[in-house]
Amino acid sequence: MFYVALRILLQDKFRSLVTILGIIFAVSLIFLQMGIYLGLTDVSSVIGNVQEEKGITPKDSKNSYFSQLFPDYIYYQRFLAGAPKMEKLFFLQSILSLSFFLNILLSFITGMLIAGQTIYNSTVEHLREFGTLRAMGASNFNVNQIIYAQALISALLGYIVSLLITMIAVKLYEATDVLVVFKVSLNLLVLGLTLMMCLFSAFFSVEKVMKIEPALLFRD
Amino acid sequence: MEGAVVARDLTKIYREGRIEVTGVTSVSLQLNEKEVVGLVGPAGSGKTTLLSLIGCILRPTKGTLSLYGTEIKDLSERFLPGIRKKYISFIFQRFNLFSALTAYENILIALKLKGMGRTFADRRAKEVLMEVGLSEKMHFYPLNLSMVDRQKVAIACALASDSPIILADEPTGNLDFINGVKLMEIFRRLSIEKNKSVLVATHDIRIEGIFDRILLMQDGEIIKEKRIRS
Repeated sequence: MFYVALRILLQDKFRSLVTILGIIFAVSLIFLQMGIYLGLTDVSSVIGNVQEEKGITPKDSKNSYFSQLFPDYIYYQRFLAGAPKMEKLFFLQSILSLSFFLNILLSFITGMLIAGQTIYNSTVEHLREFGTLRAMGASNFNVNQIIYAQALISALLGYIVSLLITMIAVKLYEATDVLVVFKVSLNLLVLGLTLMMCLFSAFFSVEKVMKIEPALLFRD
Repeated sequence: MEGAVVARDLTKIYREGRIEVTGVTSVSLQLNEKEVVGLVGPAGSGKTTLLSLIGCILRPTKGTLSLYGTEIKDLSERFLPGIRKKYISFIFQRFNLFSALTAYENILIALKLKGMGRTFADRRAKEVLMEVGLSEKMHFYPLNLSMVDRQKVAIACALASDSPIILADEPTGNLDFINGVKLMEIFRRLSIEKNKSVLVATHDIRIEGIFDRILLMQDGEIIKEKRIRS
């Protein structure tokens, strides 16, 4: 059934391309949002762990706003002369977390909608064929496999391209001194999110196939 | 003798909210091995509903249906795909072939559903393509085949899966007279040589002579049975 899914994707080349581009767009955004967020929170944890009112941090620490080095005057004012209040830092971190979380969520939903829309359209076009498979004795599982396999193939292709785009983006960010975290655990997390996004997107198509009316198969 | 298909008082009522529409009413019939039976009647007379009920893609509201002695009404929904796989092959007027797959691959799918291994499936697919005269076009996609050839691929799928019951809906609907007769001759040969039971829903009175019996349907009922061959 995996083979059938692949052949359907290859037949509808333009549609498959749109699906994969949508996934690339969403997954690249998720990668970068997560990477930048982790870059920010990793360095701000240096500040967050300071228990005293007057914190001392190594001179090369990056600040929690843009992952860039602290300008000398802030470095002296905040960590030697003045003292950053813990509440203020927590507040900043919460705002950042919420903002990044919303960006990631919106990217996830966007990817899901694009993939869902194209997979659904493809399913509707092949509805009679899926119905025929069921009439031939294919179980719901067999038929669903084709739809989920289409989503899975699109997800993996989209993910691989996004990974490459992110690797290039990380290099570009490095030149601007912005720290973007790019590590195996994050890659696996984004892979999980990509698969989830695409499998959710196939859900409505599966529902549609489950409700095929037998009369459709006989209609001229 | 117990028939391949035995239906007793089959009734199907479709429900749309509060509205009820009767598909077929109290239909009883028997379809035997080595028999080609025509199901004739105007559009809306219940032919498609009856084919769907016998093919186990619809469940009757009332009545009983048995295929080779297996009572269908007692089986839960999850067993029906297995029953269809074992006993039934459909041939549709619109062929319903996978447009993304070649003629050969369409047959391969049918064989894989039967659980056949790759080597055997490959051999069998080529055999049936040769049988219907499509060896040369085995790697053609349905869209690149003529109507006649598409119908032959659909028949080859049914042949390959070797189900004992073939249900065909207007199989000659898109064919000219000569090809329609040729197709029906394939059905007749199959029924005799391979013990198949063939039920054909049709409007095409030109092919009447090929049937053993004709069942005339009207308003969801079989109103007349006519024996053509003894």
